[in-house]
Amino acid sequence: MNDMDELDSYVRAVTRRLELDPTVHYQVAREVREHLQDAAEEARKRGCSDEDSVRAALKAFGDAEELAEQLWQANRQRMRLRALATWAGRLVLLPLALVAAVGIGFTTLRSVATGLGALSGLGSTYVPSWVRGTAERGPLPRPGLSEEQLLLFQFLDEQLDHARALVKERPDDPLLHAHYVRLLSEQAVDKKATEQQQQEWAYALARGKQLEPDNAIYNYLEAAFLMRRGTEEQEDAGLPYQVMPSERAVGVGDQDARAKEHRVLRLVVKDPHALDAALAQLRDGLPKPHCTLHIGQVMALRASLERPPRTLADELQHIAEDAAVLTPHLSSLGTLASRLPGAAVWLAEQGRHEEAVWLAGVMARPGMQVAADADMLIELLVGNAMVTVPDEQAPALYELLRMPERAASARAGYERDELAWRAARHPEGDQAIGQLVMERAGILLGMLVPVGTTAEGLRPMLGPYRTLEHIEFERLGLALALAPLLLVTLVLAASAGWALLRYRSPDQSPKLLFVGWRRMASIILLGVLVPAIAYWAWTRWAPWSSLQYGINYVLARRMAEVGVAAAVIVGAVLGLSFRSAARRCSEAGLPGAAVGIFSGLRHCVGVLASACAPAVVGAFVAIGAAADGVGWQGSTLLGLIFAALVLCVLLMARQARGAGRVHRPAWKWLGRTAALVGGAVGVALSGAAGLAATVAWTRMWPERIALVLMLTVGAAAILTAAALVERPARKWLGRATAFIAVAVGAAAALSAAPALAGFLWHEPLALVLVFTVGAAAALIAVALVERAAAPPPDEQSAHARRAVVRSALPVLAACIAVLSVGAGTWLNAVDARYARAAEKTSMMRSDIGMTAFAGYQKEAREAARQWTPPATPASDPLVPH
Amino acid sequence: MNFDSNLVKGSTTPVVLRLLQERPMYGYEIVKLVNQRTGGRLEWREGSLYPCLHRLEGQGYLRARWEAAPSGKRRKYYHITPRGEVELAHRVREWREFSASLNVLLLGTTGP
Repeated sequence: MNDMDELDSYVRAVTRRLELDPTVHYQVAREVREHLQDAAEEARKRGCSDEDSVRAALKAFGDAEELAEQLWQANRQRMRLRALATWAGRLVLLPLALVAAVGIGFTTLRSVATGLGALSGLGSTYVPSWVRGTAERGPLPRPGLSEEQLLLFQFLDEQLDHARALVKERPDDPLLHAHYVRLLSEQAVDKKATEQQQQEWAYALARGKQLEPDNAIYNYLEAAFLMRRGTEEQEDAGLPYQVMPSERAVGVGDQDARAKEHRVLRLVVKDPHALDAALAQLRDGLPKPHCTLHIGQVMALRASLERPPRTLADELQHIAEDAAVLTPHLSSLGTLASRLPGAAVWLAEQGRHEEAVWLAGVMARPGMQVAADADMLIELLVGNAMVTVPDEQAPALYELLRMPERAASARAGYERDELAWRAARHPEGDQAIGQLVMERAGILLGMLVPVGTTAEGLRPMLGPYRTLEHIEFERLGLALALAPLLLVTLVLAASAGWALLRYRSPDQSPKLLFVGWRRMASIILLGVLVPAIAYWAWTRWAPWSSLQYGINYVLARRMAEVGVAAAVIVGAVLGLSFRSAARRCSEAGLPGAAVGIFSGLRHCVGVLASACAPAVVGAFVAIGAAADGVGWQGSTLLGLIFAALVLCVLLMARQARGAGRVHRPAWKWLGRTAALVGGAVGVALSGAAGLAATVAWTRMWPERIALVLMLTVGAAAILTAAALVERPARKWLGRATAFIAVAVGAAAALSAAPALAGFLWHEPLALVLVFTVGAAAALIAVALVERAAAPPPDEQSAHARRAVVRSALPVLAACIAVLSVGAGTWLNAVDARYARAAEKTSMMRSDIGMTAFAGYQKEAREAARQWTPPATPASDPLVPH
Repeated sequence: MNFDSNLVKGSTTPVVLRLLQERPMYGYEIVKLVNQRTGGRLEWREGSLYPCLHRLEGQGYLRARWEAAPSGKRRKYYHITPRGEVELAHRVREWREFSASLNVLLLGTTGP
């Protein structure tokens, strides 16, 4: 046995009782070995032989058995606590971590899907169906409601059956009966309605008149039913009339311009008795003070049963449910109003002059009643149409009836009412409201802003809806930060797990060292909290906050803000975690663990080089998105996401490669090819890209200059980094400059290719250049990686790196948990707050949706109240002629 | 002179704390310093130092960290903590009173 074997044997004997804890065993063994080596070295200096030196050192150290017992006694408490923590981790924390990882991963995926779905509202359709499926939500859960209450929320075809059942149970409830009639009216207007359905409809209307004698709606619905049954519409070539010029008229020759001739619809009366019965119902309904199917009360009842919205999706669900309130009865009322003028013409042609005059005087009245009692904007709009259509035909009718004074009065009244209506629709003109909507409304309000809304009326709605959309976008940003962290953690965990299985000896097995609570807290503070607070202050407190504008108006800026925040958090967490783990391992005596930010400069160059290949991947994805109709911003985002994900995988593969002979890079043959081809080709192609930039510049494409410059900067940064690989800077300033150049180049390389590809989809020459530059960049990247990569590590360095990888895992997991839970909780809280605020200003809710026309409705109510019925014709329309 | 092992055992802790109060040291350095200052009179079994160091570290009196030694090699340096300082002061006070008492009994004097 030689000297070193004797020494090793002694060390094993002294530390054998510590083998239960590999970490403690390794540290103590190393400490003892170092002491013995120092002692032997001292003896050699005094002139002893190697053999005698070692023996003297061993003798001076003491009896191995006795020392083994003493070391065991001195370390048993620490080992006991460590074993307890290890088993607690395995039994409790590991399952918790798995559940948390699955939960965070699912939430991240859902956030990505929701965010991409939200972006799809900007016109992008490049959202895979499975992503849409994840983003779509089912009906909101409504626990604690009775079956009867739940019926109010269903959109199913069985609504009518449920309504029938409700009315049977409670036949005297006017609200439920109105709900039933409203749903029944859909089949009533169907031309293929069976006899049984028609009888049901007639019975329902009769019952409604009994329940609500003051409500004219049932009379008018019956009149519409009879009118539809007894008459048919046909264009009349004999009775023209004129309407007011369209408000959009721009001059002679315009289609909407003045003095277009209209025709009264001729009625072909198939059943005069049905027409007379319809007119009788009309007569009965005219004096009644109300005309409503109580939609507002139903919606208010539903609103009182709903859970307050907590997210934009909840609020959209509420809006969708409100919008889904069926109003098929309005088409019946509209049909009635459109046929009354024709009925007046028919009466005149039949010689029933007085009835014709009477009908001409009252045919706008149902519309006034509907508008006065309207609960929804659509009801108000139909009511107005029911007034306008008869009003604009009344002058022609009076002319036909040879009553020129009444014709003039009717024309003046029609023009006055029409101008009042137009003023109500556009109180401020299109331009002012249009500018406000474009800048401040966001996507949802931009699509659904009610007509006639004033800026003052719109402003209270802007903040909540706009902020909700920004929050959805920030969820996507959170997912962008979490996704690479999760991916890195998973890859590292797999690498550590593999190393645990492969390396079982205490000297090779990867150690798990806790970095310390102080370091952990500082990493969470610097890596997560500080960037998050800085982002929050920038976006919420700063005077230039982009949250003052709609997400669609400031999309590029928001993408930059969220992207930078996500990149800073990811970079800081990864960098600080690895750095702290490396320091801890170094303190624990593991040689070869790198320490310091700038010491890994070659690794950063590798990052840059590695960024080129995924940039090509991102470019392909962006091109695909652009081909599918995605705008350049959306395709850029998609390309960036894929490029970042591929980059993380490549980085981890490099990291794993440095942690031991895990695998040989699959692209080694590419590297050889690249080396053979040489950098000259890459330089030539980069020059071609520069030429393309010059061409773009001279052709004055202002909106593309930024993208072209990004590509040029990226290429320049790549070349700079290539030079740095050969001559790494040694001075601190030089390293910092190189680091900044590398970071900028990586960002530019990652973003330029997808952006340019998505944007220049329709430019074949530029597209060819993108492909060739991208391919050349990929080859250069591979060559740089091969050249910059460290030689295969020795066993000590590999062991240290395995320990760094394993020790960084808890830190990463803690940061992911804090980021996910903290940011997620904050976003949920803000989401809920603004969703409730949006609920209060919801434009689709009946009371608020009508705000814009409150003045008009008030006048309609006053007019309806003051309306005096004209004298009933001497001849009763029910008496057949 | 070989001192009784029980005497040596009882003095190891305060000696280690006192030396580390001067500056951080690694194990072999502590042994060498003790030999140097006592002229070889206090011969420790070198291995016994490490259980003592580990025990003191476990009790919170010392803190250990691998650092680069003057030779360039990395060694495990021990640093005394504030708690260790307090313990050292207590031990020194205790030794003064103990040695004073023994001096009176054995030597008939009050000691140094």
